[in-house]
Amino acid sequence: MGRLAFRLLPVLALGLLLATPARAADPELVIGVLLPMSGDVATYGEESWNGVKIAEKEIRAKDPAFAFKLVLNDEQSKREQVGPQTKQLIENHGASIVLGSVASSQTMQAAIVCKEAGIPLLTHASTNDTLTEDVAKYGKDVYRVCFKDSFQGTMLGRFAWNSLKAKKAVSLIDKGQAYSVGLAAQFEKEFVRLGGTVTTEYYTSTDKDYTTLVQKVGGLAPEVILISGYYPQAGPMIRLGKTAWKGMPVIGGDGLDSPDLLPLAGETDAKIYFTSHFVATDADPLVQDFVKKYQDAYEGKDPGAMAALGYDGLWAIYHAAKKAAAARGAEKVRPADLSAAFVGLEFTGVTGKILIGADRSPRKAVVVVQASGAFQFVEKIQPE
Amino acid sequence: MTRPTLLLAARSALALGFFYVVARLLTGDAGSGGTLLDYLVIGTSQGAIYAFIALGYTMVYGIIRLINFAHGEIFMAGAFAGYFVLRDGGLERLDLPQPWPVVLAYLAAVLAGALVSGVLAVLAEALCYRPIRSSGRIAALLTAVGLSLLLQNVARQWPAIGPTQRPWPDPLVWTTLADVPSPADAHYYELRTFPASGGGTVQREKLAVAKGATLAPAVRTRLEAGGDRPLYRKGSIEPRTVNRVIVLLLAVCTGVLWFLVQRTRMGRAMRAVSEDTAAAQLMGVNVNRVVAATFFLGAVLAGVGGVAYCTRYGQVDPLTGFMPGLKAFIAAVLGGIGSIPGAVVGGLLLGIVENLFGAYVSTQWKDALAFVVLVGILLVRPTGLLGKARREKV
Repeated sequence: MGRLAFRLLPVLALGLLLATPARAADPELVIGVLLPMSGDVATYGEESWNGVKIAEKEIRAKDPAFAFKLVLNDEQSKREQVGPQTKQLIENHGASIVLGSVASSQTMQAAIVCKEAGIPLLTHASTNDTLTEDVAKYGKDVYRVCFKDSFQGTMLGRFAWNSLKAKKAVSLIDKGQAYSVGLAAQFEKEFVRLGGTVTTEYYTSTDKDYTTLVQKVGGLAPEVILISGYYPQAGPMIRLGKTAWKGMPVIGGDGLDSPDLLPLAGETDAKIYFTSHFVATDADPLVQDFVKKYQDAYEGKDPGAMAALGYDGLWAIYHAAKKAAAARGAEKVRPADLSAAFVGLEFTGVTGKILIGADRSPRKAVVVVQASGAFQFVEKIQPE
Repeated sequence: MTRPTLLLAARSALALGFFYVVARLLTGDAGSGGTLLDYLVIGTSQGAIYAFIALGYTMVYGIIRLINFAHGEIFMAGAFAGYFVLRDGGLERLDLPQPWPVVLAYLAAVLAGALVSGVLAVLAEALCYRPIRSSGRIAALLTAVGLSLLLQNVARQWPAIGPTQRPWPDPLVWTTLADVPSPADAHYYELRTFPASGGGTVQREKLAVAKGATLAPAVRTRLEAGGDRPLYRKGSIEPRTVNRVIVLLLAVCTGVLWFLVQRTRMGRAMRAVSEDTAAAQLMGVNVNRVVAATFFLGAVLAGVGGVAYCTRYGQVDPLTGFMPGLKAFIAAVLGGIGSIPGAVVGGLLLGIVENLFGAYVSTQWKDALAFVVLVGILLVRPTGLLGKARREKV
């Protein structure tokens, strides 16, 4: 008997081997996730991925029949890594859709690769307008679950004018980042329309030495300073501005929303405000529910906006896939069907009500956050 | 007036102006506005950092005619050593009157940075440069570039360091319960408790006293009952103070270096090897030891500079040494590569010129300017400001 079992063992093993590909042949949706897990803006990648993982767990619990797989690639916050990493997601892993990335300039590169492959791209966090507007360059299969800079920048301008009562602004721009240029332009447009004046100064993210710039800006004595860019540059600038920028509020967009902002800024009396998608101190029950889930999963840490956006991003893909599957009936959902399903997609996420319009972007509320000791909720502005 | 008199007058005027700036840096509140003096002051402290690194370039070049391009990474290693000491050393919680704990913490960080950089450079010299010392200058130069990339990538892959930039541990100034914060004092905002016995790991209680608020009496009673000694975090070090300390450090370090090179046996051996290696060897100088000592001294300065640089800019990452390393190389060439006073003058000058250019012309082109200076100096005066024209013997 024992011998027979031993003889049967290879047969059984072979059977198992044969059975495995049969399961893989099921229409499993491969979702390629492209994030900066290391490098300059690594906290964005980490937070986004944490959010995505919470959504993954919930989707698997809610709908076990929905077969999907997540493949994460790290673009290392380097532009030259985006192309190869995106290609790898599509060609080696067979991704039907790419989720990511964060920095607009990176997502633009990914969008070009996706366009060539005919794969839709959903960015959870890239706010630059041209990404969905320049169809010739980035294709018509680019979607997002976040607001655009034309909205964020306008609100920032109004906040500076109305709430901070500032009339004279200095805006700091990194020409190497599409996000930085776009956001500052929108801010300036609105701030000048309201009657303010804006002086522009430039910085580069390769140069870590902002002493001269900070002094120069301090010498201009503005009533508000816009740092249009990301936290790895904004943090040290605020630190260096400890005395030179005394009494001048610093504002920025969602690029400042990172747990590393305040440690980088060091001990400071500066009034720092930024616009974002989500803040953990928002009393909204939906937000608080997500904060609890996140804290349970990640050692009591508070989720940042990127975590919430990553979470909403994966849910958006789930809803779109279900919608596409319903439209296709029994047939396999193709990337094109998935893409089509995003238009008009509507659901409530933790970053607010998401309705993806014909411009492939949702119209969402912007949250104003004050960073002093921790991130404090200031106000929420709904789109008109 | 004759030409030498004019030159002397110009030099004296420059030196006087420079001393004035340094004096203002050390005494006044310059460095916080947007005036010419402020830019001069900031340029001086930035130039001091370039000088710290440039000294290593120039000493190594002086002795074995090698541009050690891995020097920027040695600087980065020193910065990381300082980072770990400041973050995990816990020296700032020593029970001493303020500001001694902070001073000690920083002293330890600077020493650790100097030591780690020094040891790393000696290792690099023994393992990479010594075996190929006789293989010509191009081989050595390529080795240096390779070593620079290797160190960068090892740092990126090493879990304790990693590829992401880290916020520099804030200089913590702690104060005890004896002077409980008053609501008027805006600086107190975070509370951490330490075991009364001292020792052990730092216990962090998340009380996060709001900025400007006092600690609730009930909480304080509870903490005291538990045997904990509450410490309040007070402000951090002002950028102005950091600027001053950097310039003072440079003055002290160059003084010590001058003494070592001019007044000690090892220094004499260094000068001898620099002048003529073969002859020095014939006279009984242990060239290997002298070269190792040169690498060590240069790297110690880079380590000090690394800690100073990161304290100033508030972050550290594996690429930290790249730009300052390149700029310091330019400073060394500007001052005359191989000349120790040249490195200091070149560093300070580059720092000041860069800052003035950034302030009055364009911050965007500031980096490019340094490289224009490099090209310019190589075209006009390849030996640098203080370099001696050396006849190359073929």
